[in-house]
Amino acid sequence: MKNSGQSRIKSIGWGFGLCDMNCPKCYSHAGSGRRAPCYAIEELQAVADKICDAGVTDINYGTGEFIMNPNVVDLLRYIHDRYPAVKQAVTTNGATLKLIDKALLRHFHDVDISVDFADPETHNRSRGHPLAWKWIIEGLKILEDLGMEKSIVTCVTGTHTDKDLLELLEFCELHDATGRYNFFRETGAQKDLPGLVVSAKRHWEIIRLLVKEGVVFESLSDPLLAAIFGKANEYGLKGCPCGQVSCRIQKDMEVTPCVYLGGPLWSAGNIQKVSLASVYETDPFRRIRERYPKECRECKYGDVCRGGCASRAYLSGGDLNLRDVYCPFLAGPEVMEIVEEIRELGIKTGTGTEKVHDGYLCTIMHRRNS
Amino acid sequence: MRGRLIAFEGVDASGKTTLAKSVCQTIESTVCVKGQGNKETVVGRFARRHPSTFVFLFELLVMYLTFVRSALKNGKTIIHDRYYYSIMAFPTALRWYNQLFFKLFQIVLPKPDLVVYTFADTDEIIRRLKALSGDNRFHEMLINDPWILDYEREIFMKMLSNAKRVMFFDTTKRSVKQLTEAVIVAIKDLK
Repeated sequence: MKNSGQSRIKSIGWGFGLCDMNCPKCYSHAGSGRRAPCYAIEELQAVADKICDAGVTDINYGTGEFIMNPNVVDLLRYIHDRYPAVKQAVTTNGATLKLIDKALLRHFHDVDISVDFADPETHNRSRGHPLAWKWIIEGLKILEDLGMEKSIVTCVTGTHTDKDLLELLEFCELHDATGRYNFFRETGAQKDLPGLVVSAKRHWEIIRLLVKEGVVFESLSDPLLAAIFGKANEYGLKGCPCGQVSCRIQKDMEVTPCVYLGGPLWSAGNIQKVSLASVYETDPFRRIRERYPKECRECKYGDVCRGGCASRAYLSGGDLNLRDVYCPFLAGPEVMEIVEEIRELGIKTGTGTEKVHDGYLCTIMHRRNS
Repeated sequence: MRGRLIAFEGVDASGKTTLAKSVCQTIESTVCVKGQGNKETVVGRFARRHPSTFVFLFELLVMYLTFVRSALKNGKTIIHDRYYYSIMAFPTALRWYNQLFFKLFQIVLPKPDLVVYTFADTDEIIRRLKALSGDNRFHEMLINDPWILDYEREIFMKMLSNAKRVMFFDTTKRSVKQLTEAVIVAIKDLK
Protein backbone atom coordinates (compact mmCIF):
# COMPACT_ATOMS: atom_id res chain seq x y z
CA MET A 1 0.00 0.00 0.00
CA LYS A 2 1.35 3.42 -0.81
CA ASN A 3 2.46 5.68 1.95
CA SER A 4 1.94 9.20 0.70
CA GLY A 5 2.26 12.02 3.15
CA GLN A 6 1.25 12.38 6.74
CA SER A 7 -1.73 11.27 8.77
CA ARG A 8 -3.73 13.91 10.67
CA ILE A 9 -5.01 11.25 13.06
CA LYS A 10 -4.58 12.43 16.66
CA SER A 11 -7.09 10.25 18.52
CA ILE A 12 -7.40 6.51 18.36
CA GLY A 13 -10.00 4.25 19.85
CA TRP A 14 -8.56 0.81 20.46
CA GLY A 15 -10.89 -2.11 21.11
CA PHE A 16 -9.85 -5.55 22.25
CA GLY A 17 -13.19 -7.32 22.23
CA LEU A 18 -13.37 -9.53 25.30
CA CYS A 19 -16.01 -8.43 27.77
CA ASP A 20 -17.69 -9.67 30.92
CA MET A 21 -21.10 -8.18 30.20
CA ASN A 22 -23.95 -9.24 27.94
CA CYS A 23 -25.42 -6.03 26.58
CA PRO A 24 -27.95 -6.83 23.86
CA LYS A 25 -27.43 -3.37 22.37
CA CYS A 26 -23.64 -3.75 22.00
CA TYR A 27 -22.49 -2.29 18.68
CA SER A 28 -19.50 -4.60 18.37
CA HIS A 29 -20.89 -7.97 19.33
CA ALA A 30 -18.56 -8.12 22.33
CA GLY A 31 -19.81 -9.92 25.41
CA SER A 32 -18.99 -12.70 27.83
CA GLY A 33 -18.36 -16.04 26.20
CA ARG A 34 -17.48 -14.47 22.87
CA ARG A 35 -14.05 -14.81 21.38
CA ALA A 36 -11.59 -12.16 20.33
CA PRO A 37 -8.04 -12.43 18.99
CA CYS A 38 -5.33 -12.36 21.65
CA TYR A 39 -2.04 -10.57 21.08
CA ALA A 40 1.37 -10.96 22.68
CA ILE A 41 2.74 -7.89 24.44
CA GLU A 42 5.41 -7.55 21.74
CA GLU A 43 2.70 -7.31 19.09
CA LEU A 44 0.80 -4.68 21.06
CA GLN A 45 3.99 -2.72 21.70
CA ALA A 46 4.82 -2.73 18.00
CA VAL A 47 1.39 -1.23 17.20
CA ALA A 48 1.80 1.31 20.02
CA ASP A 49 5.19 2.38 18.61
CA LYS A 50 3.68 2.72 15.17
CA ILE A 51 0.76 4.92 16.18
CA CYS A 52 2.54 7.01 18.79
CA ASP A 53 5.45 7.72 16.46
CA ALA A 54 2.91 8.81 13.83
CA GLY A 55 1.73 11.70 16.00
CA VAL A 56 -1.22 10.20 17.88
CA THR A 57 -1.81 12.12 21.10
CA ASP A 58 -4.88 10.39 22.58
CA ILE A 59 -5.80 6.71 22.91
CA ASN A 60 -9.02 5.41 24.38
CA TYR A 61 -9.48 1.74 25.16
CA GLY A 62 -13.07 0.72 24.55
CA THR A 63 -15.12 -2.06 22.96
CA GLY A 64 -14.99 -4.92 25.41
CA GLU A 65 -13.76 -4.56 28.98
CA PHE A 66 -10.10 -3.52 29.05
CA ILE A 67 -8.90 -5.71 31.92
CA MET A 68 -10.46 -8.87 30.45
CA ASN A 69 -7.99 -8.84 27.57
CA PRO A 70 -4.49 -10.32 27.85
CA ASN A 71 -1.39 -8.10 28.00
CA VAL A 72 -3.29 -4.82 27.91
CA VAL A 73 -2.15 -3.73 31.36
CA ASP A 74 1.45 -4.09 30.20
CA LEU A 75 0.52 -2.07 27.12
CA LEU A 76 -0.86 0.71 29.34
CA ARG A 77 2.37 0.75 31.32
CA TYR A 78 4.50 0.64 28.16
CA ILE A 79 2.81 3.63 26.50
CA HIS A 80 2.83 5.60 29.73
CA ASP A 81 6.57 5.08 30.25
CA ARG A 82 7.69 5.39 26.66
CA TYR A 83 5.28 8.06 25.41
CA PRO A 84 4.39 10.17 28.46
CA ALA A 85 2.81 12.89 26.32
CA VAL A 86 0.23 10.47 24.94
CA LYS A 87 -3.01 10.60 26.93
CA GLN A 88 -4.62 7.23 27.60
CA ALA A 89 -8.20 6.74 28.72
CA VAL A 90 -10.53 3.83 29.18
CA THR A 91 -14.24 3.24 28.80
CA THR A 92 -15.18 0.69 31.44
CA ASN A 93 -18.14 -0.96 33.08
CA GLY A 94 -16.31 -0.68 36.42
CA ALA A 95 -14.57 -4.07 36.36
CA THR A 96 -11.22 -2.64 35.21
CA LEU A 97 -11.24 -0.10 38.01
CA LYS A 98 -11.82 -2.81 40.57
CA LEU A 99 -9.26 -5.26 39.26
CA ILE A 100 -6.36 -3.11 38.10
CA ASP A 101 -3.51 -2.07 40.36
CA LYS A 102 -4.37 1.40 41.71
CA ALA A 103 -0.94 2.79 40.82
CA LEU A 104 -1.51 1.72 37.22
CA LEU A 105 -4.96 3.27 37.20
CA ARG A 106 -3.25 6.64 37.49
CA HIS A 107 -1.68 6.03 34.08
CA PHE A 108 -5.09 6.86 32.61
CA HIS A 109 -5.62 10.54 31.93
CA ASP A 110 -9.36 10.13 32.45
CA VAL A 111 -11.91 7.37 32.82
CA ASP A 112 -15.26 6.92 31.16
CA ILE A 113 -17.74 4.74 33.06
CA SER A 114 -20.66 3.23 31.14
CA VAL A 115 -23.95 3.64 32.95
CA ASP A 116 -27.12 2.81 31.06
CA PHE A 117 -29.61 3.69 33.78
CA ALA A 118 -29.27 5.26 37.22
CA ASP A 119 -31.62 2.64 38.61
CA PRO A 120 -29.60 -0.43 39.78
CA GLU A 121 -32.05 -3.09 38.62
CA THR A 122 -32.65 -1.53 35.22
CA HIS A 123 -28.91 -1.09 34.70
CA ASN A 124 -28.20 -4.73 35.62
CA ARG A 125 -30.90 -5.88 33.25
CA SER A 126 -29.58 -3.68 30.46
CA ARG A 127 -26.07 -5.07 30.98
CA GLY A 128 -27.17 -8.68 31.34
CA HIS A 129 -25.15 -8.99 34.54
CA PRO A 130 -26.34 -9.07 38.17
CA LEU A 131 -23.26 -7.29 39.53
CA ALA A 132 -23.05 -4.53 36.92
CA TRP A 133 -24.37 -1.79 39.20
CA LYS A 134 -22.20 -2.87 42.14
CA TRP A 135 -19.10 -2.47 39.98
CA ILE A 136 -20.18 0.98 38.87
CA ILE A 137 -20.53 2.19 42.44
CA GLU A 138 -17.27 0.58 43.54
CA GLY A 139 -15.48 1.91 40.47
CA LEU A 140 -16.71 5.45 41.08
CA LYS A 141 -15.59 5.24 44.70
CA ILE A 142 -12.09 4.24 43.57
CA LEU A 143 -11.92 7.16 41.14
CA GLU A 144 -13.18 9.57 43.76
CA ASP A 145 -10.57 8.35 46.26
CA LEU A 146 -7.86 8.84 43.66
CA GLY A 147 -9.27 12.22 42.61
CA MET A 148 -9.29 11.21 38.96
CA GLU A 149 -11.03 12.94 36.06
CA LYS A 150 -14.11 10.99 35.01
CA SER A 151 -17.16 10.99 32.84
CA ILE A 152 -20.28 8.85 32.84
CA VAL A 153 -21.20 7.65 29.38
CA THR A 154 -24.65 6.48 28.39
CA CYS A 155 -25.69 4.83 25.19
CA VAL A 156 -29.02 6.62 24.85
CA THR A 157 -31.66 4.39 23.30
CA GLY A 158 -35.31 4.78 22.41
CA THR A 159 -36.19 3.11 25.71
CA HIS A 160 -34.78 5.96 27.80
CA THR A 161 -37.58 8.10 29.20
CA ASP A 162 -37.20 11.68 30.40
CA LYS A 163 -37.29 10.30 33.94
CA ASP A 164 -34.37 7.96 33.19
CA LEU A 165 -32.35 10.82 31.73
CA LEU A 166 -33.09 13.14 34.65
CA GLU A 167 -32.00 10.41 37.05
CA LEU A 168 -28.78 10.03 35.08
CA LEU A 169 -28.19 13.78 35.30
CA GLU A 170 -28.62 13.61 39.06
CA PHE A 171 -26.28 10.62 39.22
CA CYS A 172 -23.58 12.51 37.30
CA GLU A 173 -24.03 15.49 39.58
CA LEU A 174 -23.84 13.33 42.68
CA HIS A 175 -20.50 11.95 41.53
CA ASP A 176 -19.20 15.25 40.15
CA ALA A 177 -18.82 13.68 36.73
CA THR A 178 -19.29 14.91 33.20
CA GLY A 179 -22.14 13.17 31.40
CA ARG A 180 -21.53 11.86 27.92
CA TYR A 181 -24.23 10.71 25.52
CA ASN A 182 -23.77 8.45 22.56
CA PHE A 183 -26.99 7.92 20.70
CA PHE A 184 -27.61 4.26 19.84
CA ARG A 185 -26.60 3.18 16.33
CA GLU A 186 -28.01 0.08 14.74
CA THR A 187 -24.80 -1.49 13.42
CA GLY A 188 -26.32 -4.86 12.64
CA ALA A 189 -24.37 -6.57 15.42
CA GLN A 190 -27.16 -6.11 17.95
CA LYS A 191 -29.81 -8.65 18.72
CA ASP A 192 -33.15 -7.90 17.17
CA LEU A 193 -34.51 -5.63 19.87
CA PRO A 194 -37.25 -3.20 18.94
CA GLY A 195 -37.36 0.35 20.24
CA LEU A 196 -33.63 0.98 20.66
CA VAL A 197 -33.27 3.43 17.80
CA VAL A 198 -33.74 7.05 18.86
CA SER A 199 -35.87 8.98 16.36
CA ALA A 200 -34.86 12.45 15.19
CA LYS A 201 -37.74 13.97 17.13
CA ARG A 202 -36.77 12.16 20.32
CA HIS A 203 -33.11 13.10 19.86
CA TRP A 204 -33.99 16.79 19.76
CA GLU A 205 -36.45 16.41 22.62
CA ILE A 206 -33.56 15.01 24.67
CA ILE A 207 -31.34 17.96 23.75
CA ARG A 208 -34.21 20.28 24.74
CA LEU A 209 -34.55 18.45 28.05
CA LEU A 210 -30.84 18.96 28.75
CA VAL A 211 -31.07 22.64 27.84
CA LYS A 212 -34.12 23.10 30.09
CA GLU A 213 -32.17 21.45 32.90
CA GLY A 214 -29.53 24.14 32.46
CA VAL A 215 -26.66 21.83 31.51
CA VAL A 216 -23.47 23.25 30.09
CA PHE A 217 -22.37 21.42 26.96
CA GLU A 218 -18.68 20.96 27.68
CA SER A 219 -18.11 19.53 24.25
CA LEU A 220 -20.14 19.25 21.08
CA SER A 221 -18.01 17.13 18.80
CA ASP A 222 -21.18 16.01 17.07
CA PRO A 223 -20.92 18.01 13.81
CA LEU A 224 -24.65 18.53 13.44
CA LEU A 225 -25.12 20.03 16.89
CA ALA A 226 -21.88 21.96 16.67
CA ALA A 227 -22.93 23.53 13.35
CA ILE A 228 -26.49 24.38 14.36
CA PHE A 229 -25.43 25.89 17.68
CA GLY A 230 -22.49 27.75 16.17
CA LYS A 231 -19.71 25.81 17.88
CA ALA A 232 -18.13 24.18 14.87
CA ASN A 233 -15.02 26.31 14.79
CA GLU A 234 -13.87 25.07 18.19
CA TYR A 235 -12.44 21.98 16.57
CA GLY A 236 -11.42 23.58 13.32
CA LEU A 237 -13.10 20.68 11.55
CA LYS A 238 -15.65 20.38 8.81
CA GLY A 239 -17.98 17.46 9.40
CA CYS A 240 -17.35 14.29 11.31
CA PRO A 241 -14.06 13.96 13.25
CA CYS A 242 -13.97 10.28 12.24
CA GLY A 243 -11.45 9.62 9.50
CA GLN A 244 -10.16 13.18 9.79
CA VAL A 245 -8.54 13.33 13.22
CA SER A 246 -9.65 10.05 14.75
CA CYS A 247 -10.00 6.41 13.87
CA ARG A 248 -10.56 3.00 15.40
CA ILE A 249 -8.39 -0.06 15.78
CA GLN A 250 -10.90 -2.88 15.88
CA LYS A 251 -10.37 -6.06 17.89
CA ASP A 252 -8.86 -7.82 14.84
CA MET A 253 -6.39 -4.91 14.37
CA GLU A 254 -8.22 -3.68 11.29
CA VAL A 255 -8.35 0.11 11.21
CA THR A 256 -11.64 1.79 10.41
CA PRO A 257 -12.47 5.51 10.30
CA CYS A 258 -15.35 5.16 12.76
CA VAL A 259 -16.10 2.90 15.69
CA TYR A 260 -19.55 2.08 14.33
CA LEU A 261 -18.42 1.25 10.81
CA GLY A 262 -16.73 -2.13 10.76
CA GLY A 263 -16.18 -5.00 8.36
CA PRO A 264 -14.20 -5.33 5.12
CA LEU A 265 -15.97 -2.41 3.44
CA TRP A 266 -14.62 0.02 6.01
CA SER A 267 -11.28 -1.56 6.74
CA ALA A 268 -8.24 0.49 5.79
CA GLY A 269 -5.88 -2.40 6.50
CA ASN A 270 -4.37 -4.18 9.46
CA ILE A 271 -2.35 -1.81 11.62
CA GLN A 272 0.25 -4.53 12.16
CA LYS A 273 1.00 -4.42 8.44
CA VAL A 274 0.32 -0.86 7.33
CA SER A 275 1.31 2.60 8.52
CA LEU A 276 -1.11 5.19 9.86
CA ALA A 277 -0.15 7.51 6.99
CA SER A 278 -1.19 4.92 4.43
CA VAL A 279 -4.39 4.19 6.35
CA TYR A 280 -5.23 7.88 6.15
CA GLU A 281 -5.03 7.81 2.37
CA THR A 282 -7.21 4.72 1.87
CA ASP A 283 -10.60 4.79 0.21
CA PRO A 284 -12.72 4.35 3.38
CA PHE A 285 -10.97 7.28 5.06
CA ARG A 286 -11.09 9.47 1.97
CA ARG A 287 -14.78 8.73 1.41
CA ILE A 288 -15.64 9.89 4.91
CA ARG A 289 -13.46 12.99 4.69
CA GLU A 290 -14.83 13.97 1.30
CA ARG A 291 -18.43 13.31 2.23
CA TYR A 292 -20.72 16.26 1.47
CA PRO A 293 -24.32 15.27 0.62
CA LYS A 294 -25.86 17.17 -2.28
CA GLU A 295 -28.80 18.43 -0.21
CA CYS A 296 -26.39 19.98 2.30
CA ARG A 297 -24.58 22.17 -0.20
CA GLU A 298 -27.31 24.78 -0.17
CA CYS A 299 -27.83 24.64 3.58
CA LYS A 300 -26.38 27.50 5.61
CA TYR A 301 -24.85 24.97 8.03
CA GLY A 302 -23.64 22.67 5.24
CA ASP A 303 -20.09 23.89 4.98
CA VAL A 304 -19.26 23.01 8.57
CA CYS A 305 -21.77 20.21 9.21
CA ARG A 306 -21.05 18.36 5.94
CA GLY A 307 -24.03 16.06 6.41
CA GLY A 308 -23.42 15.40 10.11
CA CYS A 309 -22.41 12.06 11.58
CA ALA A 310 -21.26 9.71 8.83
CA SER A 311 -22.20 6.53 10.69
CA ARG A 312 -25.74 7.73 11.40
CA ALA A 313 -26.18 8.57 7.74
CA TYR A 314 -24.64 5.37 6.43
CA LEU A 315 -26.30 3.00 8.87
CA SER A 316 -29.71 4.51 8.17
CA GLY A 317 -29.69 3.90 4.43
CA GLY A 318 -26.43 2.32 3.31
CA ASP A 319 -25.13 5.42 1.58
CA LEU A 320 -22.58 7.95 2.80
CA ASN A 321 -24.17 10.63 0.66
CA LEU A 322 -27.29 10.62 2.75
CA ARG A 323 -27.81 13.26 5.38
CA ASP A 324 -27.51 12.56 9.10
CA VAL A 325 -30.93 11.23 10.15
CA TYR A 326 -30.97 13.78 12.97
CA CYS A 327 -30.72 16.70 10.54
CA PRO A 328 -33.77 18.82 11.46
CA PHE A 329 -34.22 19.94 7.86
CA LEU A 330 -34.51 16.29 6.88
CA ALA A 331 -36.73 15.42 9.83
CA GLY A 332 -39.26 18.14 9.06
CA PRO A 333 -40.96 21.18 10.58
CA GLU A 334 -42.04 19.48 13.79
CA VAL A 335 -38.40 18.84 14.65
CA MET A 336 -37.35 22.28 13.45
CA GLU A 337 -39.86 23.76 15.88
CA ILE A 338 -38.07 21.95 18.72
CA VAL A 339 -34.68 23.19 17.48
CA GLU A 340 -35.98 26.76 17.39
CA GLU A 341 -37.30 26.34 20.92
CA ILE A 342 -33.85 25.14 22.03
CA ARG A 343 -32.32 28.20 20.43
CA GLU A 344 -34.78 30.45 22.24
CA LEU A 345 -34.04 28.74 25.55
CA GLY A 346 -30.34 29.41 24.92
CA ILE A 347 -27.74 26.70 24.81
CA LYS A 348 -24.82 27.02 27.21
CA THR A 349 -21.49 25.76 25.99
CA GLY A 350 -18.15 25.38 27.68
CA THR A 351 -14.71 25.89 26.26
CA GLY A 352 -14.02 22.21 25.63
CA THR A 353 -12.25 19.73 27.88
CA GLU A 354 -8.93 17.95 28.01
CA LYS A 355 -10.68 14.59 28.07
CA VAL A 356 -9.65 12.00 25.51
CA HIS A 357 -13.20 11.67 24.22
CA ASP A 358 -13.48 15.37 23.46
CA GLY A 359 -13.39 15.76 19.69
CA TYR A 360 -12.75 12.08 19.12
CA LEU A 361 -16.13 10.94 17.85
CA CYS A 362 -19.65 12.30 17.35
CA THR A 363 -20.63 12.66 20.97
CA ILE A 364 -21.90 15.24 23.45
CA MET A 365 -20.43 15.95 26.86
CA HIS A 366 -22.45 17.89 29.38
CA ARG A 367 -22.47 18.88 33.01
CA ARG A 368 -25.23 20.17 35.25
CA ASN A 369 -24.33 22.11 38.36
CA SER A 370 -27.35 22.94 40.49
CA MET B 1 -33.55 52.51 8.06
CA ARG B 2 -34.46 49.77 5.63
CA GLY B 3 -37.68 47.93 6.46
CA ARG B 4 -37.98 44.19 7.02
CA LEU B 5 -39.36 41.56 4.73
CA ILE B 6 -41.31 38.85 6.53
CA ALA B 7 -42.54 35.87 4.52
CA PHE B 8 -45.32 33.59 5.70
CA GLU B 9 -44.92 30.16 4.21
CA GLY B 10 -46.38 26.70 4.47
CA VAL B 11 -48.55 24.30 2.52
CA ASP B 12 -52.18 25.15 1.78
CA ALA B 13 -54.44 25.33 4.83
CA SER B 14 -51.51 25.30 7.22
CA GLY B 15 -52.64 28.59 8.75
CA LYS B 16 -50.23 31.08 7.19
CA THR B 17 -52.86 33.50 5.84
CA THR B 18 -54.73 33.59 9.15
CA LEU B 19 -51.50 34.29 11.00
CA ALA B 20 -50.25 36.83 8.45
CA LYS B 21 -53.55 38.77 8.66
CA SER B 22 -53.44 38.74 12.43
CA VAL B 23 -49.86 40.07 12.45
CA CYS B 24 -50.80 42.78 9.91
CA GLN B 25 -53.70 43.94 12.07
CA THR B 26 -51.57 44.04 15.21
CA ILE B 27 -48.48 45.94 14.20
CA GLU B 28 -48.35 49.38 12.69
CA SER B 29 -46.46 50.53 9.63
CA THR B 30 -46.83 47.26 7.79
CA VAL B 31 -47.61 46.56 4.18
CA CYS B 32 -49.48 43.32 3.66
CA VAL B 33 -48.94 41.57 0.38
CA LYS B 34 -50.67 38.51 -0.96
CA GLY B 35 -47.80 36.96 -2.83
CA GLN B 36 -49.47 34.59 -5.27
CA GLY B 37 -52.50 35.25 -7.48
CA ASN B 38 -53.17 38.69 -6.00
CA LYS B 39 -56.64 39.74 -7.23
CA GLU B 40 -55.80 43.44 -6.84
CA THR B 41 -53.14 43.47 -9.54
CA VAL B 42 -53.40 42.83 -13.26
CA VAL B 43 -50.55 40.36 -13.25
CA GLY B 44 -52.08 38.64 -10.21
CA ARG B 45 -55.40 38.18 -11.98
CA PHE B 46 -53.54 36.86 -15.00
CA ALA B 47 -51.68 34.41 -12.78
CA ARG B 48 -54.94 33.14 -11.35
CA ARG B 49 -56.22 32.42 -14.85
CA HIS B 50 -52.93 30.90 -16.05
CA PRO B 51 -51.30 29.37 -12.99
CA SER B 52 -47.72 28.28 -13.55
CA THR B 53 -44.42 28.59 -11.72
CA PHE B 54 -43.01 31.11 -14.14
CA VAL B 55 -46.08 33.36 -14.05
CA PHE B 56 -46.17 33.34 -10.24
CA LEU B 57 -42.47 34.19 -10.11
CA PHE B 58 -43.07 37.01 -12.59
CA GLU B 59 -45.94 38.30 -10.45
CA LEU B 60 -43.64 38.34 -7.43
CA LEU B 61 -41.02 40.27 -9.37
CA VAL B 62 -43.54 42.84 -10.59
CA MET B 63 -44.87 43.38 -7.07
CA TYR B 64 -41.35 43.82 -5.78
CA LEU B 65 -40.37 46.32 -8.41
CA THR B 66 -43.62 48.31 -8.29
CA PHE B 67 -44.11 48.81 -4.54
CA VAL B 68 -42.38 46.35 -2.21
CA ARG B 69 -38.92 47.73 -2.91
CA SER B 70 -39.91 51.35 -2.24
CA ALA B 71 -41.86 50.37 0.88
CA LEU B 72 -38.78 48.60 2.22
CA LYS B 73 -36.67 51.66 1.46
CA ASN B 74 -39.16 53.76 3.44
CA GLY B 75 -38.69 51.54 6.46
CA LYS B 76 -41.97 49.64 6.22
CA THR B 77 -42.39 46.09 7.41
CA ILE B 78 -43.60 43.93 4.56
CA ILE B 79 -45.77 40.97 5.47
CA HIS B 80 -45.69 38.67 2.46
CA ASP B 81 -48.35 35.98 2.56
CA ARG B 82 -46.41 33.45 0.43
CA TYR B 83 -43.09 34.27 -1.13
CA TYR B 84 -40.92 32.37 -3.60
CA TYR B 85 -40.64 29.28 -1.36
CA SER B 86 -44.31 28.38 -1.96
CA ILE B 87 -43.95 28.82 -5.68
CA MET B 88 -40.85 26.65 -5.88
CA ALA B 89 -42.25 23.94 -3.59
CA PHE B 90 -44.71 22.73 -6.20
CA PRO B 91 -43.59 19.66 -8.26
CA THR B 92 -43.67 21.49 -11.62
CA ALA B 93 -41.10 23.99 -10.34
CA LEU B 94 -38.48 21.30 -10.91
CA ARG B 95 -38.59 21.89 -14.67
CA TRP B 96 -35.30 23.28 -15.91
CA TYR B 97 -36.67 26.57 -17.22
CA ASN B 98 -38.48 27.27 -13.94
CA GLN B 99 -35.25 26.59 -12.04
CA LEU B 100 -33.41 28.91 -14.41
CA PHE B 101 -35.94 31.72 -14.01
CA PHE B 102 -35.86 31.24 -10.26
CA LYS B 103 -32.08 31.63 -10.22
CA LEU B 104 -32.32 34.79 -12.31
CA PHE B 105 -35.17 36.28 -10.27
CA GLN B 106 -33.27 35.64 -7.07
CA ILE B 107 -30.70 38.18 -8.21
CA VAL B 108 -33.38 40.85 -7.82
CA LEU B 109 -35.74 39.44 -5.19
CA PRO B 110 -34.32 39.87 -1.68
CA LYS B 111 -34.11 37.06 0.85
CA PRO B 112 -36.72 37.56 3.58
CA ASP B 113 -35.36 38.73 6.91
CA LEU B 114 -37.67 36.26 8.60
CA VAL B 115 -39.68 33.32 7.32
CA VAL B 116 -42.63 32.20 9.41
CA TYR B 117 -43.35 28.61 8.45
CA THR B 118 -46.68 27.23 9.58
CA PHE B 119 -47.50 23.54 9.54
CA ALA B 120 -49.93 20.88 10.72
CA ASP B 121 -50.09 17.15 10.13
CA THR B 122 -51.55 15.80 6.91
CA ASP B 123 -54.85 14.65 8.43
CA GLU B 124 -55.44 18.11 9.87
CA ILE B 125 -54.55 19.80 6.56
CA ILE B 126 -56.97 17.54 4.69
CA ARG B 127 -59.67 18.24 7.26
CA ARG B 128 -59.16 22.00 6.84
CA LEU B 129 -59.12 21.77 3.05
CA LYS B 130 -62.40 19.86 3.07
CA ALA B 131 -63.93 22.44 5.39
CA LEU B 132 -62.94 25.33 3.11
CA SER B 133 -65.78 26.46 0.94
CA GLY B 134 -65.31 27.16 -2.76
CA ASP B 135 -64.33 25.34 -5.85
CA ASN B 136 -60.56 25.13 -5.75
CA ARG B 137 -59.02 22.61 -8.14
CA PHE B 138 -55.69 22.68 -6.38
CA HIS B 139 -57.26 21.92 -3.01
CA GLU B 140 -59.13 19.04 -4.59
CA MET B 141 -55.86 17.72 -5.92
CA LEU B 142 -54.27 17.86 -2.47
CA ILE B 143 -57.23 16.05 -0.91
CA ASN B 144 -57.01 13.30 -3.53
CA ASP B 145 -53.19 13.13 -3.62
CA PRO B 146 -51.88 13.99 -0.17
CA TRP B 147 -48.38 12.85 -1.20
CA ILE B 148 -48.03 16.31 -2.79
CA LEU B 149 -48.11 17.75 0.72
CA ASP B 150 -45.17 15.56 1.75
CA TYR B 151 -43.33 16.54 -1.40
CA GLU B 152 -43.92 20.23 -0.75
CA ARG B 153 -42.82 19.93 2.86
CA GLU B 154 -39.58 18.31 1.76
CA ILE B 155 -38.83 21.08 -0.74
CA PHE B 156 -39.75 23.74 1.83
CA MET B 157 -37.32 22.23 4.34
CA LYS B 158 -34.56 22.10 1.78
CA MET B 159 -35.03 25.73 0.77
CA LEU B 160 -35.51 26.97 4.32
CA SER B 161 -32.16 25.45 5.29
CA ASN B 162 -30.63 28.44 3.57
CA ALA B 163 -32.99 31.12 4.92
CA LYS B 164 -31.70 33.93 7.14
CA ARG B 165 -34.07 33.18 10.03
CA VAL B 166 -37.03 30.82 10.21
CA MET B 167 -39.70 30.31 12.84
CA PHE B 168 -41.62 27.05 12.77
CA PHE B 169 -45.13 26.92 14.15
CA ASP B 170 -47.43 23.94 14.50
CA THR B 171 -50.75 25.77 14.15
CA THR B 172 -52.66 23.07 16.00
CA LYS B 173 -50.72 23.62 19.20
CA ARG B 174 -51.17 27.33 19.94
CA SER B 175 -53.89 29.90 19.37
CA VAL B 176 -53.63 32.57 16.67
CA LYS B 177 -53.17 35.17 19.40
CA GLN B 178 -50.24 33.31 20.94
CA LEU B 179 -48.63 32.74 17.57
CA THR B 180 -49.11 36.39 16.62
CA GLU B 181 -47.40 37.51 19.81
CA ALA B 182 -44.46 35.19 19.13
CA VAL B 183 -44.06 36.54 15.59
CA ILE B 184 -44.25 40.16 16.75
CA VAL B 185 -41.52 39.56 19.33
CA ALA B 186 -39.36 38.04 16.59
CA ILE B 187 -39.99 40.97 14.23
CA LYS B 188 -39.04 43.45 16.96
CA ASP B 189 -35.86 41.45 17.58
CA LEU B 190 -34.91 41.96 13.95
CA LYS B 191 -34.74 45.71 14.41
